[in-house]
Amino acid sequence: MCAKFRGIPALIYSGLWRREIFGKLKKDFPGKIKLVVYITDHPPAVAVKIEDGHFEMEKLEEVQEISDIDNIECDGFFAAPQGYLFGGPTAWKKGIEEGKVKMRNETIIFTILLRNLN
Amino acid sequence: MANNSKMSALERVLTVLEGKIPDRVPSFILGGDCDFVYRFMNSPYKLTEEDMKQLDSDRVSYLIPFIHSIIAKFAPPDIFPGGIDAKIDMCWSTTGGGLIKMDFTDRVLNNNGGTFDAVIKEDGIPHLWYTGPGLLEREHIEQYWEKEKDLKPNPAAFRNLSRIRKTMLEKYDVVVSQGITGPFENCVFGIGHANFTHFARKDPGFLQHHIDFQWETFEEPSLKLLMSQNPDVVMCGDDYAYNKGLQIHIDYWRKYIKPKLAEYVKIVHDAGAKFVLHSCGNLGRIFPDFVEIGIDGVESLKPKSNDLIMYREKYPEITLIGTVDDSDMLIHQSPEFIRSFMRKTIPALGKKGGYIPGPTNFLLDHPPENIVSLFKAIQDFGCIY
Repeated sequence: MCAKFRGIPALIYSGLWRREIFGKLKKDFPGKIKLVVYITDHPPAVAVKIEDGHFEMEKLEEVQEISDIDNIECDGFFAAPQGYLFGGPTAWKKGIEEGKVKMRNETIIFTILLRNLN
Repeated sequence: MANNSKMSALERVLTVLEGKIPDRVPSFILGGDCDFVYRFMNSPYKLTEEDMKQLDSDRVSYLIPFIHSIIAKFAPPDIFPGGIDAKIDMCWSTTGGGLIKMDFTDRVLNNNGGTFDAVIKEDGIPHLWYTGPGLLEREHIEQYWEKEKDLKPNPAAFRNLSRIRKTMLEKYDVVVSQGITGPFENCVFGIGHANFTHFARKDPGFLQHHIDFQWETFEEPSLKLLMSQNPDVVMCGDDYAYNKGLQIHIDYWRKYIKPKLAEYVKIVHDAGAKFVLHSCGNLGRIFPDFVEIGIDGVESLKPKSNDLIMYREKYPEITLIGTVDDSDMLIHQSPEFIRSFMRKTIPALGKKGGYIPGPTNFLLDHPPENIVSLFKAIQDFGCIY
């Protein structure tokens, strides 16, 4: 079997897939949105595009460094090593100070993550 | 065919689990994975917008693999206007503990120390499952014991389970059996089979300490939280066997697992509920032990791995649940074959009571029309008393 996605991107995908197949995605995201998630120790980064009740996820092979994420046109992003992602706000704050965590409009990202990981 | 049902699903299921004769044979389903959801939602039976308005207003859970929203769709139209009249009487839902982070791995572990992963196949359908033990070294297990505080169960999860159960019972006449993972899976999912047998031979005290730790830290507290919500039927999953026999030596099962399983049963019975065990594989050697510790029903029971007629005759105390081969017949045969098979099987296994048929495991790549045919057949041919 050849996997399209694994790990955190696959968890995000799974949650979005469930919302989509049951027709809930349009209610969650009535507009068009593009978000980027980059688990820096488990590349590649992925872009999630949601529009009109459907979503697409694509790999962003061009993102090689955490600073590359600034060049991606998107509505929000979250970049961190996997261990920091699950460490909560304290770990993120520490990660930002260390230059290992970057985020913008992270509320949207975590709305998706929290809604879809359970 | 006429609907001859007289009992509610709860009355029907409890009557069977008490060893008495119901109005008709009840039916059961564990749930279905994303593959089945995809097939169902692309079939003529799919949930419509109208269905989902009703399900949303009733706050029915869409969680996979328990698929309560899809199970509701099987209801007769007098219960659910869009229902397909192939009633399911009992289903399942569980709750686990939280996730833990250990220093020796960058992976997040389940509360029992196991790893899990999500994989998206090329066809775009997700799969989420347990992927192996995370506590591979003795030192890992000792570090895990230090996480005691993080492993305590969350009462809110059990309140949510209770809300889900009441919704399905009151709105859709479906009994949701509820439970937690059993002591064997909690142990081997965390430390693996190789460590289990290694410690059982070389350091039984260490293994016993680990099993006791999991019992005291989250199994017993979880069961108490579960029972505080007054469920009627508890079903705990604990796969003991492969197709041909037990995964561990029977002496180890009796020494390390059976006493804890007996504690599970006691807590549930003391709270006035029935205890059902989900366990895959050939369970023949430990069926007498199930009788001894008072288990009310055993679920899965793949017919190729278990002598169901013998179980029915020899262990009438135990209700046989599942028994309809999910890995072959329900995938490869036609709806007509399945209907005809159930017409013969229901009286053969259910004539003295003690029988709740359904697929032997979670649905995966099953044609939805086969599953509809199965439950219609149980509904239509279940009035054998």
